[in-house]
Amino acid sequence: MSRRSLEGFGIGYFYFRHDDRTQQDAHHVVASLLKQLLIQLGTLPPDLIRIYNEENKGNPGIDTEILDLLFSCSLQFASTWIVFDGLDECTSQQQTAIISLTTQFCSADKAMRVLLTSQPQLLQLVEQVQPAMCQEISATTEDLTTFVMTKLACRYPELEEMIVESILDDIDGMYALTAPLNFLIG
Amino acid sequence: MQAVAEMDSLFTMEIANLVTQINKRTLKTHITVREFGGILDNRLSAIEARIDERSILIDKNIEELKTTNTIAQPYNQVLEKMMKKTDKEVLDWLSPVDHTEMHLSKRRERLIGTGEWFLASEPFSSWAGGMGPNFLFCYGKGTSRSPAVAKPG
Repeated sequence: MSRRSLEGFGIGYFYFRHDDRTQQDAHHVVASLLKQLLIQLGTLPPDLIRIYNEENKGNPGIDTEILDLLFSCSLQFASTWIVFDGLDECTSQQQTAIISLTTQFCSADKAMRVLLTSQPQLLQLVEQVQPAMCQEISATTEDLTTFVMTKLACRYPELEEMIVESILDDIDGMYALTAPLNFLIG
Repeated sequence: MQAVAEMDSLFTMEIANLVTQINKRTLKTHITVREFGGILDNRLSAIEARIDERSILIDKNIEELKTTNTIAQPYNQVLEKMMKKTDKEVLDWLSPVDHTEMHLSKRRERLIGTGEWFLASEPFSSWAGGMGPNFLFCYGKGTSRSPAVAKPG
């Protein structure tokens, strides 16, 4: 496959959820990413229409065919960014499948970039299979200040500074940021 | 002499009548003006009340927009609307996942102005600029991760 045209960036994302795991297996993830890229390209490949007609509107076709279509779509962009959020929200089976997908993405198209977020305990599992750059995500003091200031500014103008300071004193780094603050804000 | 006195008295009466009539008219005009003023006042207060109501609503909306950045319509949603109906049918068959809502629900959690440090971080810029590995793993505790990646764009 060759890069036919350079249409800028393609973007596909999938945010995993622990409370609804029925539609986040590899098949659903690949199909959703393909759908997103096709919307950005604006045209459907004939192969997809063929599968659609053959399946007579039943279940979307064989996974490898859909995956190949995803790769050929990705090649039509100068670069395609894939974002997977919350790998820890998946079952362990889904986690393995997504990491394997990530490896396939990164080797199928060198211009494809994958960003994956997760709880820190999956770091080892990920690093075993795929060389990665790592970045810790935690709310900075600046972020916390922005959050507290915005939410409290209108309600308690005179207490604003005092509240911000005492909350920042209490929160060391970042943990479930919004929960204690939402209690304050109501 | 008598005739003159009679004429004088008639004249006086005539003037008195005229004055009464003028007074009546003036009173009537006053009442009309006052009535009209009253109506005008009512109208004005109604308009003022509506303006106040609207300002409160507008303030509320502005406040909401400040905290949740819901102005920009997602890129995909705009493009999807431009597609042919038959193409949309194929895409809906391909994937039932509502990726737009998936993104919006995360984006609503994000506060404008937060997470900027992430975009400026070295690992992200290398990854985005195509330097080093094309896989970026971001890890963190709690609920802070998703809004960082759900920035509008």
